[in-house]
Amino acid sequence: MMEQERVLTGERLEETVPVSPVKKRKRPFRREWLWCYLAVGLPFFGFVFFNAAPIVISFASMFCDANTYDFGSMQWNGFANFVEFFHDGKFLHTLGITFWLTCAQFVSLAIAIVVAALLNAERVRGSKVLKVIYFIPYICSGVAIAVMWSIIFERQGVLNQLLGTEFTWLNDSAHPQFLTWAIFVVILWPAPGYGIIMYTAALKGVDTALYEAAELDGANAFHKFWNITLPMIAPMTYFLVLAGVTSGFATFDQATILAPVSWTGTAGPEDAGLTVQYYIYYEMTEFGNMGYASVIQWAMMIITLIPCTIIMKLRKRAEENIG
Amino acid sequence: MNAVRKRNDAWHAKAARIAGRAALYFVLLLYTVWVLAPFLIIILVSFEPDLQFAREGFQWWPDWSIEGYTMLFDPENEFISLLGTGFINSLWQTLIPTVGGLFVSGLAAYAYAKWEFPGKSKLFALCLLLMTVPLNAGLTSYLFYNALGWTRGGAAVLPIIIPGIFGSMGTIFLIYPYVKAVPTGIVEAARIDGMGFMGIYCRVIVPLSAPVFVAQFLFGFVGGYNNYSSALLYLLGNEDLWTMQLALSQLIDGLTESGAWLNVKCAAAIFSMLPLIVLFCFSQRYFIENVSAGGVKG
Repeated sequence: MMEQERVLTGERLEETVPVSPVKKRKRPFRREWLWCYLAVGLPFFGFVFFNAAPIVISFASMFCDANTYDFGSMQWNGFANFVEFFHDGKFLHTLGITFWLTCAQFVSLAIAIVVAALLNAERVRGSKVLKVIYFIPYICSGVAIAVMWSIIFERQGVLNQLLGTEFTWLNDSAHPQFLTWAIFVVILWPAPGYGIIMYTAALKGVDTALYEAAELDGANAFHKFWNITLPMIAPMTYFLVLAGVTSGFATFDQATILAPVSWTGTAGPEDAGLTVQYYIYYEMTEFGNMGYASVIQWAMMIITLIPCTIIMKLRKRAEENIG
Repeated sequence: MNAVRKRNDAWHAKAARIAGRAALYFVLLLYTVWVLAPFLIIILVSFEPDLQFAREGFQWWPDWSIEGYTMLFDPENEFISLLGTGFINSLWQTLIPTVGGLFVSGLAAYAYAKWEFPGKSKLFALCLLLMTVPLNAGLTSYLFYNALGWTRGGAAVLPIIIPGIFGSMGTIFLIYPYVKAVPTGIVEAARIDGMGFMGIYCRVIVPLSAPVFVAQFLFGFVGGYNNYSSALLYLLGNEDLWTMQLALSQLIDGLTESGAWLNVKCAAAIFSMLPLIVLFCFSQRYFIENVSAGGVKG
């Protein structure tokens, strides 16, 4: 996820950082061309070999009976995997759980905007230190964070004490939704860190003349935030939404730690912790059913594509609006 | 009369400002507590004796004991050897692809930014196109690596370290503007002094755009160290290669008995997070500045 966020930021950097012109030279430097092609070629080689080839094999395995642990076992079975897929209520269930957990990313975004706006208010003491503190959870691993929160959700843990209840939050067969909410919180907790830093930088970049003009027109703080700040940072918001949706759809680590597969073969009560990626992993490793796992993976790729395309379009429009 | 009203208005304005300030600091305080509380809680639990937790549950002021840590570091329990090996494994399994990939991506960015060669613009456009391709086989890449024979025995580590070495289109585009900003005059001067393609890269480009390389390295390192899914998929059967995250998850899994040995679990979680938090404290400037740069642009 981090990779992709950096990628998309970089795309923007390229357009705006002032660059010095490179002199066009027509003289041939054949020996150095070789170096150039080697330098440029390595990433292409890596892409073809380690991105494209697995995708092709994954695509092919959709039409096969394929054992995860034995490539040689691949055997054409027509569209049997797809037939199974369209009769699989479990996939829809995992998709629902995944969408639910992805909502944490939107909540995180709202938190990030509010906290960033507060940090950016005039003369806030310690805003630098606070930014550093808020970023710390973001660099902690999903596994460690899940372990941390599992302590809080313990039966005798701090949450039950504060609420005066005695729930087993992570394994309550009467309330399976507790588990999903627990994973939701575990995802939400570290998430705003990144957005807070980005938004504080973006908010500093908003032209103060706009606010002064609005003040002359009698706008109050809320009007200014709603009509100036939000539109001005909209492209950034769309970028963060995009990153959030992609990472939300790929939720895996937290779910596997908080909802380990029980002896009945479910991830938490009523599979309340089974995200799509977890389902793929489960199909692959527990049943060795690679063909079916690939179908789910491809379905998920296509499902991810739809919101991403829409968000990209919206982002472009938002950029045109302010540019 | 007028003077009184003026004083009243001034007083109101001042009161409103103070109330606003108070609300602002209150919300920030609330969020700070929310961020720090889980850390505080696991530190407290890590110092709580196992028996006390079993009897009384979580305590804000436990009977301080280092039982959790002595259990964790007791060589007989093999927890520490698990986590220690995990740390070493995480280190090399992260450093190889991060450093290698950064070197290769930087090299490509440098070739695009500072050299002319036939077909450059087309290759550059292709690079951009590939970067935006959202397709990723993810976990299902396993079948491909199985076909290569990279999932058996010690070779299982190859899917984790090798693909990263070839860099990525995304990293190229992140580094590109910084390399491009290195004055061409300096590159020309280095060429006239007889430096070759690689010489200029290593001795001019990398030092002059060091901040972006450092930031990219740090983000890559954090991502690699925290990576769990591929370690779980490829390395689970090979205990000698377990990374820190995998070792932690397996350690927790081994202590499943609900409500017991939470102090050991907490100590293990702290142990696993500490390296990155220490790294972050020393280099937070790079993290924050790098993310902020993205914010300013966009």
